[in-house]
Amino acid sequence: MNLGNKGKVDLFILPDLENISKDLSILEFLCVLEQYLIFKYRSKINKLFIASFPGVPEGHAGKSLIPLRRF
Amino acid sequence: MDKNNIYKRHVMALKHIKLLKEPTVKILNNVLSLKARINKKHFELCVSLYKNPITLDLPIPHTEKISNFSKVAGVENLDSLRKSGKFVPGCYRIYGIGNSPGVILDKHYILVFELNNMLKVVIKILLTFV
Repeated sequence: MNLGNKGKVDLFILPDLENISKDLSILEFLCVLEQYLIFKYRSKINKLFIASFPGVPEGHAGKSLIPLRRF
Repeated sequence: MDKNNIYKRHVMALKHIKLLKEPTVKILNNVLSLKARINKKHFELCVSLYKNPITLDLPIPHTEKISNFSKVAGVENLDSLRKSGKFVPGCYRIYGIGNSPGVILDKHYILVFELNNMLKVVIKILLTFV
Protein backbone atom coordinates (compact mmCIF):
# COMPACT_ATOMS: atom_id res chain seq x y z
CA MET A 1 0.00 0.00 0.00
CA ASN A 2 1.75 3.12 -1.13
CA LEU A 3 -0.06 6.39 -1.22
CA GLY A 4 3.10 8.43 -1.20
CA ASN A 5 2.29 12.00 -0.35
CA LYS A 6 -0.99 11.99 -2.19
CA GLY A 7 -3.15 11.80 0.88
CA LYS A 8 -3.51 14.97 2.89
CA VAL A 9 -5.46 16.03 5.92
CA ASP A 10 -6.49 19.50 6.96
CA LEU A 11 -6.95 19.93 10.70
CA PHE A 12 -9.21 22.63 12.09
CA ILE A 13 -8.28 22.61 15.73
CA LEU A 14 -10.23 24.61 18.25
CA PRO A 15 -8.24 27.27 20.04
CA ASP A 16 -8.37 27.80 23.79
CA LEU A 17 -11.79 27.48 25.26
CA GLU A 18 -11.69 31.10 26.36
CA ASN A 19 -12.05 32.08 22.74
CA ILE A 20 -15.36 30.33 22.50
CA SER A 21 -18.37 32.06 23.90
CA LYS A 22 -19.82 30.55 27.04
CA ASP A 23 -23.10 30.36 25.20
CA LEU A 24 -22.04 27.23 23.36
CA SER A 25 -20.46 24.06 24.65
CA ILE A 26 -17.45 22.65 22.84
CA LEU A 27 -19.63 19.98 21.31
CA GLU A 28 -22.12 22.53 20.08
CA PHE A 29 -19.42 24.70 18.63
CA LEU A 30 -17.94 21.69 16.86
CA CYS A 31 -21.36 21.08 15.31
CA VAL A 32 -21.38 24.68 14.10
CA LEU A 33 -17.86 24.38 12.70
CA GLU A 34 -18.65 21.09 11.04
CA GLN A 35 -21.80 22.48 9.45
CA TYR A 36 -19.89 25.55 8.30
CA LEU A 37 -17.27 23.33 6.66
CA ILE A 38 -19.96 21.21 5.03
CA PHE A 39 -21.42 24.32 3.46
CA LYS A 40 -18.01 25.49 2.32
CA TYR A 41 -16.95 22.20 0.76
CA ARG A 42 -20.42 21.11 -0.32
CA SER A 43 -20.37 18.62 -3.18
CA LYS A 44 -16.81 17.56 -2.52
CA ILE A 45 -17.87 15.79 0.63
CA ASN A 46 -18.40 12.09 0.42
CA LYS A 47 -21.43 11.20 2.49
CA LEU A 48 -20.08 7.77 3.26
CA PHE A 49 -17.36 9.26 5.36
CA ILE A 50 -19.13 11.84 7.37
CA ALA A 51 -18.83 10.30 10.76
CA SER A 52 -21.38 10.32 13.49
CA PHE A 53 -20.50 11.43 16.98
CA PRO A 54 -18.17 10.55 18.62
CA GLY A 55 -16.12 10.04 15.51
CA VAL A 56 -17.11 6.58 14.39
CA PRO A 57 -17.75 6.29 10.64
CA GLU A 58 -21.32 5.47 9.75
CA GLY A 59 -20.25 3.33 6.84
CA HIS A 60 -23.36 3.72 4.78
CA ALA A 61 -25.09 6.91 5.64
CA GLY A 62 -28.33 5.90 3.97
CA LYS A 63 -29.95 8.11 1.43
CA SER A 64 -29.13 11.35 3.14
CA LEU A 65 -26.57 13.53 1.50
CA ILE A 66 -25.58 15.37 4.62
CA PRO A 67 -26.63 13.64 7.81
CA LEU A 68 -27.13 16.10 10.63
CA ARG A 69 -25.87 15.26 14.03
CA ARG A 70 -28.08 14.59 16.98
CA PHE A 71 -26.79 16.47 19.96
CA MET B 1 -37.58 25.03 14.23
CA ASP B 2 -37.62 22.09 16.60
CA LYS B 3 -34.13 20.70 16.84
CA ASN B 4 -35.55 17.18 17.06
CA ASN B 5 -37.08 17.51 13.63
CA ILE B 6 -34.03 16.07 11.93
CA TYR B 7 -35.82 15.58 8.63
CA LYS B 8 -36.88 19.20 8.25
CA ARG B 9 -33.46 20.47 9.25
CA HIS B 10 -31.83 18.07 6.86
CA VAL B 11 -34.05 19.21 3.97
CA MET B 12 -33.31 22.82 4.81
CA ALA B 13 -29.55 22.16 4.82
CA LEU B 14 -29.80 20.38 1.48
CA LYS B 15 -31.78 23.24 0.01
CA HIS B 16 -29.10 25.73 0.97
CA ILE B 17 -26.35 23.45 -0.30
CA LYS B 18 -28.04 22.84 -3.64
CA LEU B 19 -28.49 26.57 -4.10
CA LEU B 20 -24.76 26.89 -3.48
CA LYS B 21 -25.36 29.40 -0.77
CA GLU B 22 -22.49 30.56 1.34
CA PRO B 23 -22.97 29.83 5.03
CA THR B 24 -24.32 32.64 7.17
CA VAL B 25 -25.15 33.05 10.83
CA LYS B 26 -28.84 32.87 9.98
CA ILE B 27 -28.55 29.69 7.94
CA LEU B 28 -26.47 27.94 10.59
CA ASN B 29 -28.94 28.94 13.29
CA ASN B 30 -31.86 27.63 11.25
CA VAL B 31 -30.23 24.36 10.31
CA LEU B 32 -28.70 23.50 13.66
CA SER B 33 -31.39 24.91 15.97
CA LEU B 34 -29.14 24.95 19.00
CA LYS B 35 -30.50 26.12 22.35
CA ALA B 36 -28.12 29.08 22.32
CA ARG B 37 -27.98 31.32 19.31
CA ILE B 38 -24.93 31.20 17.11
CA ASN B 39 -23.56 34.72 16.97
CA LYS B 40 -21.14 36.67 14.83
CA LYS B 41 -18.24 35.79 17.11
CA HIS B 42 -18.82 32.07 16.66
CA PHE B 43 -19.16 32.55 12.93
CA GLU B 44 -15.94 34.53 12.66
CA LEU B 45 -14.10 31.82 14.55
CA CYS B 46 -15.37 29.29 12.00
CA VAL B 47 -14.18 31.51 9.17
CA SER B 48 -10.78 31.88 10.80
CA LEU B 49 -10.39 28.13 11.33
CA TYR B 50 -11.50 27.44 7.77
CA LYS B 51 -8.92 29.83 6.36
CA ASN B 52 -6.08 28.55 8.52
CA PRO B 53 -6.07 24.76 8.55
CA ILE B 54 -3.05 22.74 9.58
CA THR B 55 -2.21 20.54 6.61
CA LEU B 56 -0.40 17.26 7.17
CA ASP B 57 0.28 14.11 5.22
CA LEU B 58 -2.33 11.45 5.72
CA PRO B 59 -1.24 9.51 8.83
CA ILE B 60 -0.98 6.09 7.28
CA PRO B 61 -0.54 3.40 9.97
CA HIS B 62 2.95 2.01 10.47
CA THR B 63 4.65 4.98 8.85
CA GLU B 64 6.54 7.92 10.27
CA LYS B 65 3.60 10.11 9.34
CA ILE B 66 1.78 8.88 12.38
CA SER B 67 4.14 10.63 14.76
CA ASN B 68 3.88 13.89 12.86
CA PHE B 69 0.13 13.66 13.10
CA SER B 70 0.12 12.74 16.78
CA LYS B 71 2.24 15.75 17.66
CA VAL B 72 -0.54 17.98 16.46
CA ALA B 73 -3.70 15.98 16.98
CA GLY B 74 -2.76 13.93 20.02
CA VAL B 75 -2.58 10.22 20.55
CA GLU B 76 -5.34 7.86 19.56
CA ASN B 77 -4.83 5.10 22.09
CA LEU B 78 -7.79 5.31 24.45
CA ASP B 79 -5.88 4.31 27.56
CA SER B 80 -3.23 6.91 26.92
CA LEU B 81 -5.93 9.43 26.22
CA ARG B 82 -7.72 8.79 29.48
CA LYS B 83 -4.49 9.13 31.40
CA SER B 84 -3.42 12.30 29.68
CA GLY B 85 -6.87 13.83 29.28
CA LYS B 86 -5.57 15.50 26.16
CA PHE B 87 -8.50 15.18 23.83
CA VAL B 88 -8.08 17.46 20.87
CA PRO B 89 -11.36 18.95 19.70
CA GLY B 90 -11.63 19.96 16.10
CA CYS B 91 -12.72 18.94 12.63
CA TYR B 92 -10.69 17.46 9.85
CA ARG B 93 -10.89 17.00 6.14
CA ILE B 94 -9.14 14.22 4.26
CA TYR B 95 -8.49 14.49 0.57
CA GLY B 96 -6.21 13.29 -2.16
CA ILE B 97 -4.07 15.30 -4.51
CA GLY B 98 -3.12 14.42 -8.04
CA ASN B 99 -4.37 11.51 -10.12
CA SER B 100 -1.76 8.92 -9.41
CA PRO B 101 -2.92 5.37 -10.21
CA GLY B 102 -4.00 3.57 -7.09
CA VAL B 103 -4.80 6.76 -5.28
CA ILE B 104 -8.54 7.00 -5.27
CA LEU B 105 -8.88 9.54 -2.54
CA ASP B 106 -9.78 12.31 -4.95
CA LYS B 107 -13.13 13.83 -4.11
CA HIS B 108 -13.48 11.78 -0.98
CA TYR B 109 -13.62 14.11 1.90
CA ILE B 110 -14.28 13.64 5.52
CA LEU B 111 -15.41 15.91 8.26
CA VAL B 112 -15.45 14.63 11.75
CA PHE B 113 -14.67 15.94 15.13
CA GLU B 114 -12.55 14.35 17.85
CA LEU B 115 -9.26 14.35 16.05
CA ASN B 116 -7.97 11.57 18.22
CA ASN B 117 -10.32 9.20 16.46
CA MET B 118 -9.16 10.10 12.99
CA LEU B 119 -6.78 7.21 12.49
CA LYS B 120 -9.66 4.77 12.58
CA VAL B 121 -11.19 6.63 9.69
CA VAL B 122 -7.92 6.64 7.76
CA ILE B 123 -7.71 2.89 8.10
CA LYS B 124 -11.27 2.59 6.87
CA ILE B 125 -10.44 4.65 3.79
CA LEU B 126 -7.41 2.57 3.01
CA LEU B 127 -9.39 -0.63 3.36
CA THR B 128 -12.11 0.74 1.14
CA PHE B 129 -10.12 2.20 -1.67
CA VAL B 130 -6.92 0.23 -1.91
